[in-house]
Amino acid sequence: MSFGIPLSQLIVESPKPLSSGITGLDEMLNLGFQARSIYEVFGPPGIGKTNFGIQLVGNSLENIQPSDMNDDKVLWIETFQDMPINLLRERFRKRDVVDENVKRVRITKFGQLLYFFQNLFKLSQSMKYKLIIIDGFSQIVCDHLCTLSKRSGGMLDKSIHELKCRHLILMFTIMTKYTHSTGSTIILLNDCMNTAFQSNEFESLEEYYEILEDGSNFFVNSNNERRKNNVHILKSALVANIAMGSKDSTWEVFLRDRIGFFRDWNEQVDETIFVKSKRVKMPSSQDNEGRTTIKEMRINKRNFENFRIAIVFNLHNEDRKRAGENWKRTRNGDDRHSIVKFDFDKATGQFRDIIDRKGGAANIDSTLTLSASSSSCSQVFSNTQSDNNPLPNAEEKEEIIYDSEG
Amino acid sequence: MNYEDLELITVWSSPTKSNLCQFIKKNLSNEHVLTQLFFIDATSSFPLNQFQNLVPPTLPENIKIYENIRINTCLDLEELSAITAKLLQILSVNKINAQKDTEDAATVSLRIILYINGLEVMFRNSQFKSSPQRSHELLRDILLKLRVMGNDEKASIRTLLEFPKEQLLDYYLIKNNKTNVSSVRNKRRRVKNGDSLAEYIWKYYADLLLE
Repeated sequence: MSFGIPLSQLIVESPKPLSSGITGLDEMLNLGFQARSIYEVFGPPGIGKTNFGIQLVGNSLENIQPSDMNDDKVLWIETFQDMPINLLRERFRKRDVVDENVKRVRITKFGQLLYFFQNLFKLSQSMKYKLIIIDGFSQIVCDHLCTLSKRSGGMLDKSIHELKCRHLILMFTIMTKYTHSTGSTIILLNDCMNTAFQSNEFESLEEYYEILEDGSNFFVNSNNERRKNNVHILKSALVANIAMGSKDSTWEVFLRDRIGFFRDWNEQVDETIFVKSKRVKMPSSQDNEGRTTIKEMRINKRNFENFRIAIVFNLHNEDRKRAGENWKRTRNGDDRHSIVKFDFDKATGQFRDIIDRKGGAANIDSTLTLSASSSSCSQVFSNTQSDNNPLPNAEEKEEIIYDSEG
Repeated sequence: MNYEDLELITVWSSPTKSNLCQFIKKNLSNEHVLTQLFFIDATSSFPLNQFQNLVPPTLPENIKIYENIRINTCLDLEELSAITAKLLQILSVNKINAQKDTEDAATVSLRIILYINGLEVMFRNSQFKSSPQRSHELLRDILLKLRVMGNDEKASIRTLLEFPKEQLLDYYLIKNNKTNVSSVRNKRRRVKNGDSLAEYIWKYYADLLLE
């Protein structure tokens, strides 16, 4: 007499992880997206989140065996954007397999989605989806929060944050029930927001940031007197919205991993531009009038094209647990997160790893300082010699910091 | 940490995956005693990969270990209550079997480790489903049942509750003798938010806190 699933059975029965098509990313996710799990993929507009979702659907369909075609269907939940099914049909030759196994549904309200998953869970024995993709989940959540806030006549930040946490827990609970009963994988494709949330619990770089008053509430600036830098912090729109607060970890426990897609600069520049030259007066003991020298500034032209990175944020950070209460976010490499370079291969129409010209697929150049904890990405552009630099437009050294907060 | 060192209810503050795997391996690899681990979880947090690395499932001596670990997903206290009821049944059946086989010296005794992670999620979900009063009742009922079961000499069960470190602020303040320094701040926090679930259980139900 016993209950529960023996671990041996769980190992045997658990399906093969779903490959993303990006080898480096698969390695970080332990061979791919695991069954019985919820993942979040977030990134700025145009980075390729929907395309990535299509790629996952394609990979999932390729693994379908004729015998279990009825059990391994894919569900794509559209929110405010149609599913680009044509992309899938172009990539996947067997059109009948696509039409038969990929189901679509449009949901634009939070309550609707909750009700949908409750019913899906009830029908889980008869209808199983191996993979569920929700394209624009964060938008549904943000809309829901804005509606709640308006209805209550402008809720306090703390109250709306607590409400967000409670509602997300409710949603993720029913999703978890579904994934555990069917062994499916849910992938949330979310937007990202650029803002300056600061946690009071841990000392951070972010405590020096302030939101720029440009009306958009999107850009932030550093107000740290020691380091006057332009700062952008990119976070998942589930974290950075009108309900920001310190209790996001209460719902983040349901996510297996959070993956951020960002653009990056190609450090392998082959073009150097001479920007300016300036005469600088140097004091000299021999010459009372001083001397003038010519200083030339050079910058490398950066290539923004076809270069993306994926950061797998460690939501259940082991380092953080070990460090205990004295844990602080640092800029050293101890709490770095896994980073992989990838790119859109136009020939195949799929995302692939970038093989670094210097060798090594996932090595970011040494000029990039990478540091991270769990939920956001900031890109700090710092001119290290700005105090002495006579050329305000020239950038001598640029530093990118991926930072986040749990 | 051995089974013998565990109390009726033990709170484990943010164990690392490797520590947890070591603990499981140590306690389940004893050949003379049959130990079963019931891993109750709200968020599928069993460190499967680390455990597979530490205890290779292909080795014949490890097969029993994998059979004796049972994974359960539980998302609210009603479900947890049903699980504790089943555990009670298992223990009762074992007790009866043990009485039958008293003369049989070869009987292997059974020990159960109940590992619960995500109790705060279950508690919060119960509050959604029913009411705060009902969820408190269920929590009290479950914890008392677990204590009663553990107290029975013939039924060997120990409960481990995992909580994040951040939810046990009071413990760490006391431990670091910071109570006087931040007492006003601490009082304010408590008046504002009350005890967290982890603190409440640590103060009123648990016998031991592991770090």
